Amino acid sequence: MSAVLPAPAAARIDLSGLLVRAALVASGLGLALFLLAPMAAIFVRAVLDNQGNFVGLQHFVAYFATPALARSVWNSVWVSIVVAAITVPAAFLFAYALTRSCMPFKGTLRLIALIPLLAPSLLPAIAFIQWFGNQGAAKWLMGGVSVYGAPGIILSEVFNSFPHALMILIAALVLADGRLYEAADALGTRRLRRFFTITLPGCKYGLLSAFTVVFTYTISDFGAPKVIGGTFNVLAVDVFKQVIGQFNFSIGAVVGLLLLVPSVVAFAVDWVVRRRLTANLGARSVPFIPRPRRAFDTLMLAYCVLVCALLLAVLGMAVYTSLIQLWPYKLNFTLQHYHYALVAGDYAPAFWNSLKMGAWTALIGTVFVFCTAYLLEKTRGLGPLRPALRLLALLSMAVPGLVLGLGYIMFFNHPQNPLNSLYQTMAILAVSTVVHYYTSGHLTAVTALKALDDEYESVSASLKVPFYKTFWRVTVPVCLPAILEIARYYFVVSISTLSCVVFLYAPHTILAAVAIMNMDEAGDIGPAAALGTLVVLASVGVCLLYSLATRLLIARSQAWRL
Amino acid sequence: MQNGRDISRLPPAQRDYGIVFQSYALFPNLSVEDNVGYGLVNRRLARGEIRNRVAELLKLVGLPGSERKYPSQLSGGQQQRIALARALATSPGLLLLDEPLSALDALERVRLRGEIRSLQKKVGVTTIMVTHDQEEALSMADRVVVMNQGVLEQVGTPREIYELPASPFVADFVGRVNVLNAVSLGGGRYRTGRLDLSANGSDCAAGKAVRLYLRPEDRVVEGDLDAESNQMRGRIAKVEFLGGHCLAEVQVPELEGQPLSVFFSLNQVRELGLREGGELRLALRPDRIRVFEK
Repeated sequence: MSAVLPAPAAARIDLSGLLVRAALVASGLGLALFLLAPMAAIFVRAVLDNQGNFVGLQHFVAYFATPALARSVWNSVWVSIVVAAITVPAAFLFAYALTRSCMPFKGTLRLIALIPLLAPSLLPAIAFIQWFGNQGAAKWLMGGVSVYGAPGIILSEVFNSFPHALMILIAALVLADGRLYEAADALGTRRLRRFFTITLPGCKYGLLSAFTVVFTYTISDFGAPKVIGGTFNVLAVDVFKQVIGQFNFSIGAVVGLLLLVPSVVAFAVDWVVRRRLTANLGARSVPFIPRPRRAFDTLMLAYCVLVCALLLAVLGMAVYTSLIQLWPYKLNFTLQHYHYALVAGDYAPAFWNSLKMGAWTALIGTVFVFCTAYLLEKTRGLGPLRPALRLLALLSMAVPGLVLGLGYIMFFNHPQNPLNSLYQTMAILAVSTVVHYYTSGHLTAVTALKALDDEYESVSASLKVPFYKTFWRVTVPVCLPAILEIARYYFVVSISTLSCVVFLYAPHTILAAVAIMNMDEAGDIGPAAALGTLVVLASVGVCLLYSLATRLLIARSQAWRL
Repeated sequence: MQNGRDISRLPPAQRDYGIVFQSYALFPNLSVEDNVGYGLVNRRLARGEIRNRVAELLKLVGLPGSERKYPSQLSGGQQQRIALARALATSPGLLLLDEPLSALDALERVRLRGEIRSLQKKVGVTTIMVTHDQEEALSMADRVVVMNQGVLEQVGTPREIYELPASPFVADFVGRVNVLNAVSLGGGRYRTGRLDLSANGSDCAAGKAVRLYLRPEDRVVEGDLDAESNQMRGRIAKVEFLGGHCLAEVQVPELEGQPLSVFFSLNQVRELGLREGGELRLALRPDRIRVFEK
């Protein structure tokens, strides 16, 4: 050790350090360009007129002065509240049955309850028209009330949002501390009091989170109200009508900003809730294990079977519609709708485009999401950029697809944008979907990376092995299950997504969900149902492939995964 | 400084060192052979050369033939030795051990202590080991550096650190110690309570408030006590049994409420008939008392 240290210059940066910094900056630029810039374009557009002059809040005033438009704000809000008020208790009971009872067939019931995730949001709307519409099979059940409008939207969105609420509530109910229940039992507490003093407070954040998620999902969904909404106006359809129908981008931007409000509020709520959730369960908690009780278990099983039957009835009606010639006149079995949807019709390329887009999204999205998460979690340097990147990664969740898509047209379709050539390509569809569903993949990657020892990077630096070699030889193989999960998620969401891409497709890049919407509008309900069924089948196929791949992988790597 | 080069500001990859972490940080998906050879692959060595070097290192750490195993199939101590082999593979000029033993159970820790020490002597690599275990530091090191909140307190051989602590922190931190509040009387004499004690070799102006530090074993209890200075008489308040020896808490009335901890071997306890509540005559060794100003 020397007595006098020379005055140290700033820490020297080697090649690896430079590479890390360059990659981080590239990630940041990517998210800024494809998430922040389009959002900024909407803000700007909302205060400009069609000639590009600044008009202040004039568009907002004009919007609220139009009674038909202003009414859709109220319509959107109350419908979303009703949907949340139905879905959350229903999903809570289902989650309660799965986590706190000893009923049989839990795995199967859970799997069926998650099926709506695989279907485009238009499909249940089509199914509900077949059930309860003007010529519906069970129209008498509606007691004279027309399904077109609020009732149909509510039914469809309950179907669509059920699995989202279910997943959150299962996660909340699983986090129970068995010791609390033992203590309550030791004190002779009755079951009902136990439920209200332990169970419910324990998952209040989960309930809150589920409520906001369902509310935001419903208010920003576009597919179901477009198909079954009739003359009942909601915000999401307004954006579409203003932009596609009347080319009124400014009013479109105003509605888009209105749609952003509930999402941002939900985002803030979720942010707070997530922080509380982690503090809820300490390392010393003992997991709660339910004990069998015959009457309760039977009751729970009956409820879950009923819910699954209803969910399957909706999906089943869509499949049935795709397989018969014409409801209710010609009920003979035919594959002609599939032939039309895949080969003969105007929208024949849609399904293949969707598969292609799903593959691209899965590829680009997984690589980008995982590499960015790795850079954020496991490298050093560029301190100030990191919190900003983390925030962007979470913020994508707060932007409804329709609003993001709107931002994309305003930003990329601008004649002076050098990236103008991206417009109307498959690439922009894939990129927008990657950005739209960024948060979920990011959280999966971060969780997997956090489970790895932080010292791998230090060790390889001491052995003079550059970080990217360790990334490739150690980090990627160890995180492979998480990487596959991200890819599966991206594929499944991107082949059924509608809201984000509805503004961005071109005739040659038309996607399945858009084609379903257009065919439904043209009255081709059979082919629309057929295409929807194909999307569900493709998703199921990918999920099967995924579970097969993970199983093989774990079998192969069992040597070290003990 | 490493070979005349200041490495404190270099990026890690340009320093010449090997490191072993508390968590071992072995790559879970790579076999023992790939783990140990991880740094060698990058040096463009032939495959056979790497295999020979890995085998040689595994023999060195006492785990020959474990090439094909995965880290999760090894015990904690074995993983630690693989991590050591990996760090040594590139023949670094400096080896850093970051609390390498703290994740192991007490017996394994003591055994590996000796192994690491003899291995280090065999390889002859300068090694820096970070530890919170004072005993570990004293038993393994040639030189001990005591740090407190990032500030260097003392550098010295283990005996220097223990016998001549440079600061109250070091005296307190390494081993057990008695602390007596006192006032200097000048000329190496100090008044604590109602007793005057002498401490050889200390020099402190009269009237200064000081603390006297004394290890529990630095006392005389046997033989001719009349010839000793710093004599006192006290009552044994309690005896803590520690295996091979005992720690007695002695209340000396003249120290006015400052208890003394005193070590006894088990044989001494037997021979002197020590028991709780018994009387004890002892003298503190003037050459071992350390004086620090308040």
